[in-house]
Amino acid sequence: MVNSELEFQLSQYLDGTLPAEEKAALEVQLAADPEARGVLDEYRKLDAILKNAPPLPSVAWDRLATRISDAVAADEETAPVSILSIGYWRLPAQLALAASVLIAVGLAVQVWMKGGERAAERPVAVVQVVGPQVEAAAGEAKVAVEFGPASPVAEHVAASSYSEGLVAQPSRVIIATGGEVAQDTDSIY
Amino acid sequence: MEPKATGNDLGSTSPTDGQLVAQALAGKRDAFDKLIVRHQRQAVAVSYRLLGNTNDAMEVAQDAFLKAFKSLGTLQKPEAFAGWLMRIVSNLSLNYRRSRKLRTQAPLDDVAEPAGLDEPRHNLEGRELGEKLREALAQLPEKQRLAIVMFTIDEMPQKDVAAALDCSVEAVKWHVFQGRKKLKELLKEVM
Repeated sequence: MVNSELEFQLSQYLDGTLPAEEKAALEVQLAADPEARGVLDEYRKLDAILKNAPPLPSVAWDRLATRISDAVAADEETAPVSILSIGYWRLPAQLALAASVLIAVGLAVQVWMKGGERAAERPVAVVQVVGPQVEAAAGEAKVAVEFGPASPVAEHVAASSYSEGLVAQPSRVIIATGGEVAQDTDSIY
Repeated sequence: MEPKATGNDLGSTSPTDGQLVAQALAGKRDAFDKLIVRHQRQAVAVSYRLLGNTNDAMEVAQDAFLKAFKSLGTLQKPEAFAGWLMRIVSNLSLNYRRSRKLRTQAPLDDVAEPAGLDEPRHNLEGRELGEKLREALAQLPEKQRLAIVMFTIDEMPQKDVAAALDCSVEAVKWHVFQGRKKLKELLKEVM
């Protein structure tokens, strides 16, 4: 079976577009490969059908050229007059774009000017935000609780190379009755 | 016989497509008329392969030249006018196929000359083969169809086909190959 790459070469060989070296190599292969010759023959038959397809019917080319030229001239006459010779159809779009830009700039200037005039009249609101206050405990301390590692462990940890990663310092919390419960903060005072 | 030369050949005394485009943009109407004469046959031929009808093909060709004239200022490579025009023709032809409708403009019947009895298109076998070929072409993906029509049937240079399809010359070779492969299968009964 002829592979796709060889078939592509045969197609180019038929068109005379194969590079000289590849053409020479292919001709050697064709001499020895009947299957490849068979595929080439099929392509030749197909090309004969394509090139012998019903020819273009007779056309009065002079009259057609005149008809086309007249149509172009008629279209040119109805097109908007332009001082530019290139791309009439682009001029209306360019004018529309320029007009849009001018209108936008004009509006922006108006808004800016009116904004300056009204600056003195603009009301200003000042708002002060006051956070919740921490209330100190009203009563005496009832109990003191210490958190942290036991002393022998604390001594061991201090000497350990992991000391930075462990809680070595005891925490001290004083629990007392008092007034209303305050919002959590870093300190109980 | 319409000359196929684009005027881009070295040593040619006629202006190149690029020069004619520049002159047309400068306001010289006869420059665009020269482009019409130079490329109308190819435009009609490409459209005819896709539509199968002479009058439709001529109308599409006219529309394509109109559109090209209006958009001439957008053409970035004036020397590639031919390929650019063929792309407009192929797009308009495909749109025309998709929405066939009666047109209000006068048909171009007076431009198509009556065919003689011995012309191939009046031969039954030729007509049937032509119809089978158009049906097969219609089943191809667009780029393969256009590559086959422009390069294989109408023998446009591959670089012009590449410009029309907006792809490389290597891609055109690939599209032609893939199109051939499919057509070989679709037309095996008549081969």
